[in-house]
Amino acid sequence: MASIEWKAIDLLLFLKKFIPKTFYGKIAYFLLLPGIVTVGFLAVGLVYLGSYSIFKFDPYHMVVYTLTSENYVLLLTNPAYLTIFVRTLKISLIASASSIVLGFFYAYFTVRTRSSILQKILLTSLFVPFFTGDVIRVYGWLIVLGKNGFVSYVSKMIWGHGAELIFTETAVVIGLTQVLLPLAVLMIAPAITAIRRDLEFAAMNLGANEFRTLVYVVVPLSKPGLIAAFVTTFTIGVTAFAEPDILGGGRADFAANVVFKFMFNAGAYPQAAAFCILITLVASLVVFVVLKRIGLGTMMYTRTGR
Amino acid sequence: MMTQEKVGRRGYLKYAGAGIVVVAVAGAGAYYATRPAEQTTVTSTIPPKPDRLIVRAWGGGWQDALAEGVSKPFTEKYGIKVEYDNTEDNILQAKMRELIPAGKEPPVDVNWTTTTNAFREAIWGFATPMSEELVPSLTELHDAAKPETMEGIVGWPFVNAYTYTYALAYRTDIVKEPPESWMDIWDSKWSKSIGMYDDGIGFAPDVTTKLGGGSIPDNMEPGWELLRQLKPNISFTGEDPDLTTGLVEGHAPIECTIPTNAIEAQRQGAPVAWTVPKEGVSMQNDALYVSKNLPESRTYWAMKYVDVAMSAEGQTVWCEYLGCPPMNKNATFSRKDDPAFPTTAAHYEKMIIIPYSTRVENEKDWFARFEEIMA
Repeated sequence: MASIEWKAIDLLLFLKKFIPKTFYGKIAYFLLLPGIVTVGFLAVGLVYLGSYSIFKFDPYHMVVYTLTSENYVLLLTNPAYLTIFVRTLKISLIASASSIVLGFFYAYFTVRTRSSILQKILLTSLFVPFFTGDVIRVYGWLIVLGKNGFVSYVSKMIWGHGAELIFTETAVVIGLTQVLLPLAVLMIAPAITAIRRDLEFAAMNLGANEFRTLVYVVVPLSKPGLIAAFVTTFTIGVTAFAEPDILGGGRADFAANVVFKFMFNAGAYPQAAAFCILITLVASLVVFVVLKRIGLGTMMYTRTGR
Repeated sequence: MMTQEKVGRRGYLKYAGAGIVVVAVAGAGAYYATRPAEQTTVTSTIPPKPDRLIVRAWGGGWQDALAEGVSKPFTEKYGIKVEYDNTEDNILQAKMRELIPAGKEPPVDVNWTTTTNAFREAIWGFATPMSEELVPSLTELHDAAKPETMEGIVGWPFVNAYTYTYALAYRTDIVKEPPESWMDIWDSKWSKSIGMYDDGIGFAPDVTTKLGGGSIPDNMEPGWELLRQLKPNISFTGEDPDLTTGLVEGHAPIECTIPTNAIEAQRQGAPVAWTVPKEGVSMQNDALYVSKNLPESRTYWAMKYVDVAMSAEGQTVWCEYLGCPPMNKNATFSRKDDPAFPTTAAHYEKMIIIPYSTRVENEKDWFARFEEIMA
């Protein structure tokens, strides 16, 4: 096995002879290639979307290659679409915040617990949801929150009538939070691991109780993880489809659901493309503002060379 | 010592960005430069048999019905296996929009889809026209099986396979008296109790416009206003499986759905019935067609598949299982006395029928309006 590795290194050294010496300092830049290819594909998709969004819709031919701004005008002036935009952002922010709050405590407990068995159970519980798809998890909530589900059953026992949670925005928030929670934990846990336990002890030695230690020491030092968790959960939340579709039942549609209906029910590619471009811009703007105002999250490590 | 030209990080990223833009523009250019393919020609000589045919079908009971009524006798007769592609019809349409104009082979040989989709796809030239010589069972069909004619639609680019209605289905344990009028469902006692399709199809604007005293497509505002008033009573909107689940789980004890979903709910043990209210119900069709850009042998045998599907024997089993009135005049159908499965002139009087050309022309606006009200 080792000989194969050495042969590979010999081969690389041999190939190095063919690289002009002027390139030696720039080899590292070539490591960016996979990222550039990935972003390139995204860019191609955005160019397609952008071009479709400024063409006209025709009921018989779907797309007529005549330039128009009517798709954007329709989406920006119609109160119904603005409602869907606002709902998408509002529920994504609530679900993102909920998953970060719950995820913070989950991550803290997982990192700080002294019981290795408990730590393993918490880590396993974290990864189990990744083995099932979003749709399966959301269908689980459909059963739990449904008219004859567990929540309704408990509600009937206590208040005498079933809870009307299914097909509401609340149901979407619950389902989305559960889907985003593991991602939030994964983003926050490394940041908490990096906080030395001594700092918490020092704060408590100086008279801070556990709550103040958490608020003034642990949370600020977890900022890189919290920012990363926000960016990840918010952007995934904004593009959610299954949660609003199944748990919202058409009564709490997100942008993605409307794009789907524009595209696949009506064949209105231009409107669908315009909607995609607008939601991409708005979500990017929110992330940009957060990064600009609060910081770069985990990327700070590389910037400061820590 | 050689002077090394400095290319900084920003410079590198600038060049990379420029490269991405070039790739994107080149990709888009290549896409738009793609030329349509020549039309498939079909001869009446018998070409060699393919190993299999691929048929697009809705899954679950829909596919089972097609397998039992059409694919099984087809395989027994010709020895060609049939496989299914369960891609959602509208998603397959999007794929075919990419493949067929580029001259590529589509993923399915026979497309089983809604007539509205088939109508649009025929206009785009996605279908290979069928002849009565290759598909003899076309001569045994009711007039309603033939596609509506308009520019781009001549002869048999597709065939309407059967009819279906959007009836009022309900849970008999919750709705004690069958509603006689659609207006009954506006009663506030049915708050959060109604289910319908997620684009309103079959109910809005078909039924709502009639109830509001308007006309399609010129005077639809009264109907949209009625839908707005019904909104508090709407529990959810969804697709066929959601509507079946809605009846089974009781999420929506009243639904505007095709009876096939209600029959499926019955099969799953739910106490479900359906009715045709006095104002009538929307009636539409599903269709079959043979895709364009197929090799000649597959085109030929795909047409033979359609022939079996439209034969009296095929229609009897297939349509019986689906609960949809067949188009073949010689096929038998057990539910012929139920107006939700129209077979007689008296039944047809209660049908709300909108021409497919009107549907295709206005559907996008109707869907958008439905979405606006539901938002």
